[in-house]
Amino acid sequence: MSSSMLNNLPEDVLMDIFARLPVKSLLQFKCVCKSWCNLIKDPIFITKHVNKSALGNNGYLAVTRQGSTFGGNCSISLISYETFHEVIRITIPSKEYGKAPFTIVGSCNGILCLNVTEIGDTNFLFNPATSEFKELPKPNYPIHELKEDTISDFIGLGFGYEPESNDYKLVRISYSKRLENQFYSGVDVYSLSTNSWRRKNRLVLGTVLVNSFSKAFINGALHWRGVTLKRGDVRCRIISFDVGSEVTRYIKLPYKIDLAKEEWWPFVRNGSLAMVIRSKTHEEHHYIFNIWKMNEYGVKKSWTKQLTVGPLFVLKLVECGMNEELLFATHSTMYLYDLQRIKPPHDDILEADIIGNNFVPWVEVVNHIESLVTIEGTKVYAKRVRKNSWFGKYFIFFQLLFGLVVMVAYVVILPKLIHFFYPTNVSE
Amino acid sequence: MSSVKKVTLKSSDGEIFEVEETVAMESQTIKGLIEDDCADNAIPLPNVTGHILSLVIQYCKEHTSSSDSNSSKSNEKLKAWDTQFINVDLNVLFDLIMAANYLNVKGLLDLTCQTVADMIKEKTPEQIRAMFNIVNDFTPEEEEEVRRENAWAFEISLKNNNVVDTFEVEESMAKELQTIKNMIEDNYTDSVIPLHNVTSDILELVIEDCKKHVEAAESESEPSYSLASKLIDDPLKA
Repeated sequence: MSSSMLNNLPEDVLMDIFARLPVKSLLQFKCVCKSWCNLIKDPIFITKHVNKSALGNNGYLAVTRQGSTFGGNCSISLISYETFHEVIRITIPSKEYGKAPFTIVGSCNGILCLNVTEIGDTNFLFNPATSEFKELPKPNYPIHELKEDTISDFIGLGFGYEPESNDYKLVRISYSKRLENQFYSGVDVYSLSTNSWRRKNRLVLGTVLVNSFSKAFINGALHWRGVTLKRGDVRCRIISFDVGSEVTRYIKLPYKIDLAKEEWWPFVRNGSLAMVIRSKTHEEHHYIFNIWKMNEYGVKKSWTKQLTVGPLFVLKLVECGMNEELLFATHSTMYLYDLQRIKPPHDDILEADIIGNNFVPWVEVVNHIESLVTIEGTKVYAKRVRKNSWFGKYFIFFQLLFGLVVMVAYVVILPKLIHFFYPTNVSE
Repeated sequence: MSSVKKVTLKSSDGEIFEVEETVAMESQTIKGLIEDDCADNAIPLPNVTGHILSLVIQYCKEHTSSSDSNSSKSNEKLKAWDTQFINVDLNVLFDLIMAANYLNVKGLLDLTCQTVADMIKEKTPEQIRAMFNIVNDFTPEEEEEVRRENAWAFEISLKNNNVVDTFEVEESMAKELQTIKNMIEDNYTDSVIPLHNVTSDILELVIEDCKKHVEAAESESEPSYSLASKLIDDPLKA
């Protein structure tokens, strides 16, 4: 019974074991021997690993932070999904755009899609685990003639994955025209496998409202908040775009939203399509948030109200945790709001923990896992800094302790040394 | 219908085991044989020794009975039993993996693979090679190349960023604090403003509060109501 049994295991069993390992271990194990290196690079294994990671609980929330005041690059914060503490901070390795405020469009299978311009034409793919960075070509399709600062209010971006063709897609939907009392938008689709954009030759009904990234990639489709026109009246709809079939659908909301008083956003909660409706209160800058979940995808009647929180002095709901933790944001600060700790009527933001305060406005947060998926990008050096290690927290304590020890030693030992070297100092 | 159906299993070293059919069916391989009516006599299992087979049967017994009597064994108890069960030496562990794979006992394969994964997770490549007698067939240059490509994975962590917390704040916010505003206006500040009377925690809270006030003033995005009306009034039709 030699102990080289690990290597004697059949390949699919070895893959099963490796699929349970974190990316960091796998990258190290590449240099154990050539067969391990080849196994870890195998696309079949990488897919197995991704599928296993997606089921686990060790994912992160990814969000971008502004560079420091003194001209640093923008960086990506990875926040643990369990503790809501920042775990790693990775500097975005872009020489040309590094200092610009990046926002995260989405994350699929460990690949982040980053955006730098509001009209959605300068985008990047980044896998922080494999240090691969890729600038995507620009979509050379004209968008509406509205001025740039206006048109950006009607552009939506979304990043999705198509399993049938194992392809990653970036979709841009932009307001095109108003025709016969209806809004129309153009759709441009980028595909990683062809590394090129394509414009759909038919316009779709409706328009995305307020520059938005699709926070909801579910059932193979991206979802944006949008509006259509009906008899001169604005109707709110969730616009959904299936990345595989490229079919557009319109999902009705639980009730007719009064845009004068309410704002709303779709997102994903516990594997279902959900939305949050933010209502004004009598106090300025204080809002009430209602979270609804669509129990049966696409069925208007299945919208169920789940939570009401507020009034809170925040601007938007950013994400929901696994156990009723809510993340809210103001302009560039994020707060953790733990419903299990805060008693009804759930309106006490002062007790909330600040997660950070220099995020890129408007604090776009996505769910992210680490993976080995390759994007055929350039290998770059991306600076990574670990945060909130216990050592760091108590570093000042250790410094003081060390200082104290040095002082004590100084006071106690020095006289003895002097006595030793200059015995004549001792009085008889 | 009173007698329980049993099957006979024969290990590679000739040991005979009689087990209830339901227990044996935890193994998809054996289940297939039974359903194909190939199980009238003893089923030979040439890839599994008697010792390992007895362990596998133990596992199957424990896990069948729990699904039978409607979770009479709670999940925690079963997990605790599993932890005890898998506490074996490395060679036995690998034999169990091979047996679970051959006999297709999903739960046991999961348990054993997870155990090995947990064992190797924190180890360095050198430790792995030593533990499992794996020969390093990379040349030093090749290995160096692999390490360089994945440099961050080899870094030893715990790098502390701030020694003393310095808070970089925007001037607009700092001015909310009259003291600092005066300092700035007196051109006092080219570098860090030292605040001796204020500890880090308090300073952080104060800055937060100032930020909120400044943000609330500047930050609201244009509400969608007015955006939508903009579009309706959009002169650029068609």
